[in-house]
Parts: sequence; C-alpha cells; structure tokens
Amino acid sequence: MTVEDRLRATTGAVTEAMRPVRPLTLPPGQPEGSAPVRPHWGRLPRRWPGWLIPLAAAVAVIAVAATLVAVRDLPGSHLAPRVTPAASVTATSTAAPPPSAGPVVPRYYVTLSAESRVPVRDAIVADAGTGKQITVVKPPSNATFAGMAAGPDDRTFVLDARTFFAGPSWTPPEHIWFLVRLTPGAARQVQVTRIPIAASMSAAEIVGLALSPDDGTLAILFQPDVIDVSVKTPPGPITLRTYSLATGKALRTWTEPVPSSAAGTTLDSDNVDGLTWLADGRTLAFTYPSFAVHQTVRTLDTTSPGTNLVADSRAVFQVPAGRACGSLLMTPDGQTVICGTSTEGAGGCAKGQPEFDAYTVATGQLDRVLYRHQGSCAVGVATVEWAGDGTLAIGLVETFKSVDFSFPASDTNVVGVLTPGKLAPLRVTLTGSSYGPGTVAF
Amino acid sequence: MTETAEPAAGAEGQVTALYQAHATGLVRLAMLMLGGDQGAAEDVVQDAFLGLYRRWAALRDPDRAVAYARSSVLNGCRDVLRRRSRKIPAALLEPDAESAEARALLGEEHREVLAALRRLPDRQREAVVLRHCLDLKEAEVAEAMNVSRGTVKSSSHRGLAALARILKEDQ
Repeated sequence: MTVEDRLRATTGAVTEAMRPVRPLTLPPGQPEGSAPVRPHWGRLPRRWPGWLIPLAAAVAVIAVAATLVAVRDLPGSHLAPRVTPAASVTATSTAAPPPSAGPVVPRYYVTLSAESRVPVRDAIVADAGTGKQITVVKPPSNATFAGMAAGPDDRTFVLDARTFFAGPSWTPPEHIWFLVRLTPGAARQVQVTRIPIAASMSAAEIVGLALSPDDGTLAILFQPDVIDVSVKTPPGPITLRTYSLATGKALRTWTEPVPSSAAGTTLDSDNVDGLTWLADGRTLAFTYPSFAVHQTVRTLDTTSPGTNLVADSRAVFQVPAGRACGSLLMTPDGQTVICGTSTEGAGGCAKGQPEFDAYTVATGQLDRVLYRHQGSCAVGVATVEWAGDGTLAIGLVETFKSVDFSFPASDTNVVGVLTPGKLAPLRVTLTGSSYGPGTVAF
Repeated sequence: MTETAEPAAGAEGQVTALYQAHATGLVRLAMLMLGGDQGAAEDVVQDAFLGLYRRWAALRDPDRAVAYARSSVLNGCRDVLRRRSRKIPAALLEPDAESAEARALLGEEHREVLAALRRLPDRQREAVVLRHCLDLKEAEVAEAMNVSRGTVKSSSHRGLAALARILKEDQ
C-alpha cells in the first residue's frame, strides 16, 4: 500500500468516524460594515459593461507605465551604503581557496527577504565577502519578487517580480523582469532596470531561470496558466523560451508535447528544475520531468532546430533509484551533476545527514560526497545554490530542531563553499527557510 | 432563481448556506490537521465562518468564499498547533498527543498516519492533506495556503517522502 493509499484510507476512516457537525452559530445582527447584501446565489459572475473595458484597459496601461517608471529608479538603489570592496578581493578571502584553474567562487549574491503571510518579498543584494547588505530592491506595487538568476560574473542578476491579486476580483498574475547590475566602488553601486519582456506568461509558474554566459540571453522555463484560482483554464505545457536580454524579444520556444500536469509532475519555483547554461553558451540543462521517480537531467542545444522540449532534448543523467535530490544543478562543463539531499522523518540527522553529492554524468554514478552535514537535527535540508565544477559548489544546509515546528525560519542555516569534505561558510544572511536555487543567486 | 432574487436572509443566510454545504469537508480537513480532534476542528471551522460573516460585505466574489474559509481553517489549525506546542514539550506531542477521540474511533493504522502527519512541518502537512487527502486541485491548494503552485508541488512531494519514511520507520 502506497503512502497515498494510506492517506486516502485514513481520510475515509476519519470521515466515517465523524459525528454530525454542529450548526453554525453567528452573532445576531448584520456583520460589521455590511452594505446591503447583493444577490449572489445562482448568478453568473458580474461582468463589466462593454464600454468600460477599453477605458479600464487604458487606465491599466497608464498605471503599469507609471509603475515601471517608478521601478526603473528604485529608491533602494540610492540608499545603498558605500560599501567599496577592493576589486582584488574575492569571496575566497572568507572561504576555501578555489582550484587555481577552476571557477572562481562568486562574491556577491541576491536573495529574497523572508517569506511571511504578507505576500511581498524584497530582493536583498549583499556581499558574501564582508557579510554586509548592499541594498534592498523593492518590487513594484502589487508585486513580489519571486526568484532570480545570476550571470556568469557575480555582479549581474535577473529578478522575477510576480504580480499578485490585490483587487476585488481575480486577475491572473504576470511576471515583470528586472536586470540588476552591481558596480562595487562606483558612486551608484546598484543599477536596476526593467527588461522589456512583454507580458506573455499569464498565471505562469517559473520553474527555471538562467542567464547565459555572455549575459545576452535569458532562458525561462515555465508552465502557463497554473496559478488560476478560478481553475477555468487547464495548465499549459511546460515551455522553455529564450529572450534577448537587450531587447526582451523572444528568440526560441520549446514546449512539451503533453502538459506535465496531466502526468502529475511536481514542480517548484523559481529554479527548482535547475535550469543551467553550460559553458559553451548554447546548451541548456534542466530537470525534466521534475521530481519524477527518477529525476532526469536533459540537455538541449539551443542552436539546433526544433520546438519540442522532449524530442529535441537529450536525457543525459538520471538520479539513481533510491536517491532523491531536493535540488540539483549540472556544472557548466556538463560533466557533473551536484545534488543536495534532505533528511526528514523520525530520527532526523541521526538516521542520515543531509549531504551534497557529485555524480558523474558519463557514468551516472556517484563520484563523491562533497560534504555531509554533521550535527543533530530533526529535519535537515541541503540545497545546491551554485555549481562550479565537480569539486566546487556553493551549498546551503538548513536544519530544524523539531519536525513539529510552527515557524517558518530554519533553526540554523549555513551557506558555504563546498569542496570535498569541507563546507567553508560564507557570510550570507538568510532569515527564512527553504531557499532554493531560484531564491538565492550567486 | 432569477438574477434579482434575494437570498433568504442576507449575509447570515448566505454564510449559513455556505456552512451547510462545506462544513463537513472543512471539519474533516481540520481533523486531519489536528490529529483527529473533532471538537477542536469544529471550533476552528466555526471561527473561520464567523470571520467570513464579518467580512462578507467586502467579499465581492462569492466564488472565493470557500477558498477564503479554507484558508482561514488552515490558519486556525496552525494557531491551535502553535498554542499546543508552546504548552506541551515537543517530545510529548508525538505521537501520543493524538486526541482521545481518534484513539477511540480510529484503527491503529489510521492513527499512525495521523501521528505521522503531525510530525511534518506545517507547510508539508497542509499540502499533503489538501492535495492527497482532500483531492483538491493544485491551484486551490495554492490559494488556500497562500503560496505559489510550485511551492504546493514541492511541499507535497517532500511531505509524501517524509511520510513514507516516518511510516516505514515506525513499523
């Protein structure tokens, strides 16, 4: 009997055991501030008069334009303290030295502020070398930052702002994209500009986000029409689209032949699918389908013809049976997949520590355990945030003292440079929990 | 019913009708969240509908009323569990803290599942219960939990994996 079967059986047993539910007891009189009650039952949703629609659209366009003007010059950028790190200092000053010929560990990072019931998260730009916050970028009104990706250097980032429902009636969320450029030591260290990508991802869930090695192309993996509370539109197919960062123009699009939602695929935001550009600047790697029984990493040559996400890509690695990666990233050389595992359930860390594993793509076998957490916890989560090569990465270990916790923040979290057998902590401050590869970008 | 027909008794009548239609399902949801305690579950659901009643005038889209109530029930369950965890050492909460009602009425195999659910983090428990016990669509779960659909999927996945481990280890 599967876990799902047991859950269904228990739900049925609970239902059978229920006594009749007692009637609702409401206080006498009308509710506070109640207007005359409108008829609701049996009515179709109220529609706007036809003449009002173009007028409303014009107002909305003006409002969006005003918002974009405001965001283009975000106040947080002006307030940035004058942190002027020496140009020669890299994150290695506080972390393990990288291999001389290997990738350099990035120093600057962006992350989301802690999640709360208020659905607005800021983007925090900070310096892992000094441990200091450089600036806080506020999202446009009625939007929250939902994810980000970093460029090949540690000074270019893309932010995904998702609009949210804030009015009396449901409106599908859209995504607004921003480019963050960091110039340490300059009079104005942080520049935030809007990327002119037209609104085209209505109610979409972003599951992959990656900026090309030449900073010229943004790849977005998304599924349209999933965040639709009216559930009137079935989820669309998972779509991979590349955009010019300069013009916002869509360059290429690939879609899956059958929407994954029909197959029960599990996704996450904002880059749980580990979308990564390889160093050749033309190949994208991503997990598809997400969180299947055996997670599979596929590569797609963006210069080859075709529009089919599955047929035109190639499965190159599958997580071995019995193993599960909470997060995984392919290294830019395409040789290694680095996997972060979680340890949950009774016994917690005592029965298996969260760890970072490096798998060789060519053989599909575990090459080495980069780092295994040592400590006590009830729940432990290891998340790979950046992959350098098969022996170097940045990872996050979060632990929780109790599985019955009620508050979202992890009890401990350590972000550090991973080298075999070692996690050298970076001075990164995270105040929430569950920071995936799309919620921290190096 | 015509478009101009008034409900029988304004907000009270509408909220009561909504309660009659959905209370059983919402109490079941709260019971699953609270380890089978129907009394506490009914209190949470009553509070949720009281809140709905008070805000009825501001609720312009009746289609959202059930989602609003469901979200309120989840919040209420979180509060109950939070209060319990403050009063009782965590070690005592698992798994013997199941309600006496559940102990009396449910078989051991089902009590194990409820106890395992209680050992999940809030978000995973909510995602698993809403998605896999109540068979809600992901978009509905996302709205009830006030999170993205992706978070629902990942939380549900992680929750199921954790449940599998807990149940296996408890055998």
